Amino acid sequence: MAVLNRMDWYDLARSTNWTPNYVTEDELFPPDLSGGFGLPQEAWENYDEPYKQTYPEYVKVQREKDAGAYSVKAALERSRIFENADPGWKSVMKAHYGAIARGEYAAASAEARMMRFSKAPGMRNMSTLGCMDEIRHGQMQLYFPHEHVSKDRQMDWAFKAYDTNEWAMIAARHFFDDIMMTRDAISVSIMLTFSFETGFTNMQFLGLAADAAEAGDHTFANLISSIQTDESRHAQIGGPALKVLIENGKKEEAQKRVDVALWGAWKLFSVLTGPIMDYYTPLEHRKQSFKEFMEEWIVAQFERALTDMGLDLPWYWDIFLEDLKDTHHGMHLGSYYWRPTVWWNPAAGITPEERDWLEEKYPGWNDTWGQCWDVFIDNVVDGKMELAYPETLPMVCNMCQLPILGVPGKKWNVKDYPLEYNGRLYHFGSEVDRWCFEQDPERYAGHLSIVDRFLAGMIQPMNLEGALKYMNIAPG
Amino acid sequence: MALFPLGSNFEGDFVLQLIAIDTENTMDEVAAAAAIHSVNRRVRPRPDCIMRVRKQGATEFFPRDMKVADSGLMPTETIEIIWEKTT
Amino acid sequence: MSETQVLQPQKTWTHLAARRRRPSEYEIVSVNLHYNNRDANAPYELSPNMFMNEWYKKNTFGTELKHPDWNAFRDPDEVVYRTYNLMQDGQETYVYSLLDQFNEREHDKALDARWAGTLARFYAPLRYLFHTLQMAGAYIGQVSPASTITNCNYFQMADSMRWLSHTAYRTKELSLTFPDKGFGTDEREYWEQDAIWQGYRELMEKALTVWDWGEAMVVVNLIAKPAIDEVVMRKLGEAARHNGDTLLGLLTDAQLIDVSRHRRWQAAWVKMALETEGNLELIKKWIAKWEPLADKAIDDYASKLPDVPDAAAKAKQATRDFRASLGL
Repeated sequence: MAVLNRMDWYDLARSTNWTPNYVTEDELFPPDLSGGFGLPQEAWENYDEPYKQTYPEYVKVQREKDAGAYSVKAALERSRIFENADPGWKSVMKAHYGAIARGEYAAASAEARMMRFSKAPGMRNMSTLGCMDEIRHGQMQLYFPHEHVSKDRQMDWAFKAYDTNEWAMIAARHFFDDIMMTRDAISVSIMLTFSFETGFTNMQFLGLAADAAEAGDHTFANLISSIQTDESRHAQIGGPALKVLIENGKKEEAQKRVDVALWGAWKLFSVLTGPIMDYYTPLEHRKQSFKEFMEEWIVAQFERALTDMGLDLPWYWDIFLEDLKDTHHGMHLGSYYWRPTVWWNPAAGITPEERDWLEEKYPGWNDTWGQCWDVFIDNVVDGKMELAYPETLPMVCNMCQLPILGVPGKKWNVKDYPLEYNGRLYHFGSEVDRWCFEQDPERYAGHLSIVDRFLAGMIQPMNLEGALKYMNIAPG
Repeated sequence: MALFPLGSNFEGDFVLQLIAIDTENTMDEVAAAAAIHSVNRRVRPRPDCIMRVRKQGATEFFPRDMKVADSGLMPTETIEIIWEKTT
Repeated sequence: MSETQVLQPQKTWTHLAARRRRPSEYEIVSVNLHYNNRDANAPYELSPNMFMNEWYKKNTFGTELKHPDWNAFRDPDEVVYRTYNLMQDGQETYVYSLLDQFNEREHDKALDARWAGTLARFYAPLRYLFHTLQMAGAYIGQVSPASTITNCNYFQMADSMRWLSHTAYRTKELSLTFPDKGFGTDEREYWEQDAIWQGYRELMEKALTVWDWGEAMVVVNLIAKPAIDEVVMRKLGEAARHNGDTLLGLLTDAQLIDVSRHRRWQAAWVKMALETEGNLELIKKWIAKWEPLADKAIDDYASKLPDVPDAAAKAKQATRDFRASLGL
């Protein structure tokens, strides 16, 4: 073969910075979009992506990946996996596809933000490939569930979710719009690729893939692990950018972005992935508890990634480690009790054997969460279903948009974290949610949570039926 | 007569909930309104107790017959509803 | 309060269910994907007046180039991610077999040194020009009001990176045969200083700072890109053939396959844009404003290109013929 080795020309392909003079550097790279942190192009030219790939390699490798994933799908299409799936597993798929598919597609534009506006040439090429990756992830996670749309109306949410005002989707949009859709190029690399993708998507995709394989859903398992092989390439984009920032004395700005993104990712995970792993996935298919998954994939990995990078653990790390054993139980109880307001059928996941598993994994579960479930179970047993459904709204955090909750029963510790800002009283789910808001209030202050909208009369009639219609949950 | 939203933090429950009460309501009426959304739903009733209302973080309860209008509470402010033993 | 009634499943996504025929894979995975058009006051789920909400209200939803439903746009080629890679991996396999064969037959050694000098000046710096198209595609894609239009721009961004990669490869390879022509070291200086490049650099630096989506689509795709494709692909390919550089001739032909795909979706987009009263005049206004800059870029470069008679005049005419074919 008389073809050059890719590394012979790789650096030429990323030697693409020049000195503009028909427009100024700030006109070509507006700070609000580029996030140069006042650093000139030269500072960004020693950005070096560890995981290198060229265009010809990309189209070849990605063609082969798709050939694999789509052939598994085709082979299993007639396998009735969906029809015979455990109801809990169907909810896993509906919740995942709805909250993730078009969010991944939107990430293509977050990658395009980096591609157009980053002053680091290596980052511009890597995010070109990252942009393509996200189109893949969006399109696959629409094409794969579409097969089930004709079997179950809730599968329509795999597409529809992002267009609705369903409360979990307001939370998902608020988070993704905050950390990736409305940030400058460098902040996107720190908040989306470094903070969210290196840790959390690994867990959502690889952790869940393990459960999926256990549940016999090989199409889903194969799909999400194939997706994750792309993730490891474009999730790297933020690392070298952090190095450049820290080398140039911008550690504090970098740390703040990591801390805001990590907490937001955690809160969204507590409502989506927590219940999936500890309540929906059939007991016999649970590889690890949500807390164990989090400790392995997020806590351990992040402590390494942050220290390797020369960053500190977030100031709230102890609060985070404490909440790991609590928050998602509340999110599950909340989404279950308010189940008419979610687009999947939550599994309660509290049979006696499941409660034993929960008590073992989370000592004290029965004295806290169990206390609430006991009252709930009595109502169901006694047929008092009117007490098994909500008649008001939970108070919702003005940052993460999720119910403000805490530990019930014998260790009751529920608390509001209020803040008055410009004459309006805001409420937060935790001290950290409030801190995130305070880092950039003008970014969030004008936003109305679903409770704010209800109180402002934007949801009519002012009852649960009106709320369901507002959330596009009512028929049609 | 005016609708007044508050956040109910009911002792033993797991989540803050929106309750719409009236500025003329007494604290006992407020506690009863809050109880509808917690007691017998996720919190066992406690016949040996009455329910008292306090501002979040306060040590003293509001007097049982104090009206919301006279309490200084702000719309959507969080109140704690606490079981107080009567024996 | 009771369980919501169970709704009947449909054949496809709700927004596609209204039509009778079965949706294609392309429609299922490409149509109506953006979610920033839900609330005119706040494209994104944050404060309505924060920077990026104002940016999208102004540049995506505030463009003068109006259409009642941009989401009705369809890429004539119906490219999806899966087929993009099938298509381009096949093309790259072909291009790399060319690079391999021509290297085996020591093609570069047969080139005369004068033509190598022309390549150092006219060909190698192209990576900068192609990179500006890569950046332009990324911007226009992220502010397009419809996902089907966004995708065309992102695939075009990837194609630009493809062209850039070919250029970087050949620049390196030529540097091995002609170590004294500045291959791999002088490109930035040519791009920033040499007279033949200043027209393109001015055109692209200014095009890259057009933030309005409608104007950016016209400037980049209907004015700048034709001025680039007709010259640094077609004319440079002719010059190459006249100087025994068969490889570059074949390489530009391979890249012109991408160009014709780009032109097919651009033609479909213009046709759709012209459905709205007033857009024809608006687009013509933008063309009148930007065409001189593109013509200067063509003149600066093509007029100095050896062995291609009337290169500039023919190229400029070709850009006009393309626009005329779109009814502009």
